[in-house]
Amino acid sequence: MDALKLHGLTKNYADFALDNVSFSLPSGSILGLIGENGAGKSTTIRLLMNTIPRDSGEVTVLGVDNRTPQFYAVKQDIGVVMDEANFPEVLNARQVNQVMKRTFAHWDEAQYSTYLKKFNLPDKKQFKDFSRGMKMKLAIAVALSHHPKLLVLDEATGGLDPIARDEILDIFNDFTRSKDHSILMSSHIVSDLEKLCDYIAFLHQGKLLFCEEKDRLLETYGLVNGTREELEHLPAGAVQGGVRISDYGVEAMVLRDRLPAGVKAEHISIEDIIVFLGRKEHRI
Amino acid sequence: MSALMLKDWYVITKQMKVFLILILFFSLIPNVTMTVFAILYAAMLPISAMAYDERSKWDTLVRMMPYSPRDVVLSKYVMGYCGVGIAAAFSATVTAVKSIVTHSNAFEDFGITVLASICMALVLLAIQTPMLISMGVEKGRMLFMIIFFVIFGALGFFFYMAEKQSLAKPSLTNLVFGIIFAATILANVISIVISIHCYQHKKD
Repeated sequence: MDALKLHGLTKNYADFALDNVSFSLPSGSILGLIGENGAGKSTTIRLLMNTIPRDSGEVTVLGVDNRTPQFYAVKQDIGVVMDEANFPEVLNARQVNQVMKRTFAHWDEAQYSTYLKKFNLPDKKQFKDFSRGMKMKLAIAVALSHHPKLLVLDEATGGLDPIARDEILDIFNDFTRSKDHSILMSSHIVSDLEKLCDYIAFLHQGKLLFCEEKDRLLETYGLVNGTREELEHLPAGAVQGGVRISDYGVEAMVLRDRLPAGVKAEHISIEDIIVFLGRKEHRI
Repeated sequence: MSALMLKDWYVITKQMKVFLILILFFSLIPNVTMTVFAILYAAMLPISAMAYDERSKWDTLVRMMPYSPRDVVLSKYVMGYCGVGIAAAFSATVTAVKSIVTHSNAFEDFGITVLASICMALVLLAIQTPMLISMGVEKGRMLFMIIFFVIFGALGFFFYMAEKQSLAKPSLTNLVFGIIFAATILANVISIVISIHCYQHKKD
């Protein structure tokens, strides 16, 4: 079963359009939604949580159409962390517990306390006095303390230092050990997604360029270095996206199966795949 | 809805202390104008609460959580009703004590004033809430203030002209008051339905 299924999702604004986005997230896996600022990641997340009206398309979350009244019950099984924690600034962690206890049917106070201790979060300090990292940790603690089946994370690790980020990525990794637990995670820290995700979806200027298994992406693409002339002699369609020009030559991303015998492609990172596909200038 | 009301309680007791103290202060003064002011002022509690929600972006988070639009909207109305009720109860208590101490009939005259003020406050709440929800606090508050001054300015002008023309002042008989009270309830029911619709169809 798919934890998430988006089909033909479209949303038009005056200066931006999310155009016909379709992808799915199989249960038990982690999907990373990558894209530059303004690519449509947050819009996609808002649409899948049905907090803004769409122009067209279908969204199913944990098997339920997100426009039906049943979706409010499904939200009990979803933990959401946005790019900011968004709790009222006068609340403290103890009061957040009281509010969430009345919000989520499966709220687990013991679990919440454990996360507060693990993240070194004070329970009586007002939220406005928290650092950005502490705020995000509190939001993550809340999202994890009601036994969700799906985590929706919108730039959730953005305000964290590398050590805290690593710790939290481990928690997310543990979370998906259960087969019915899934994560949709948007970020532009590609290294986080590369470390964690099973699937990568790349949004560019409102369009979904691909949604693929991470390992398959790494098998499909490679890096080739050479002169401009050498790269121009590669078979048509071998070079994907733009090229990187430096004093030492030209670097291009290629489809490994389009390369002629004798031309070897080096390993490429997910970050490079995104960068090459996103570059408009410097094309062969 | 209890979660949202508890959150609002935490916010208003911490962030709006001065607002609450002013309401209590005005309602404790045994004076008709102050009482009317305290009760009307209390009806504006949801405006400030919604402004704080917007500032902390809680209004964005709340849409992601398992709260129905009905719960989110009703929690703001209930907050207004509680505020108005508490201000009215304080005013009534103070006036009752004054009546007993001074052996006057201040409480009898006062009853009509309080009930009329409650109706006025609830009508304000019914007008303001859909505006705040559909336009956001900043624009909604501006439009509400314009409507507030137009309505009360027109009423003031009407009573001024009536007095000048030596017309009989409209008296609040039980029947008239019953009609006003029923209209107030109807206005609130319609307002809640509109607010839920606006909340569900808000564009961002």
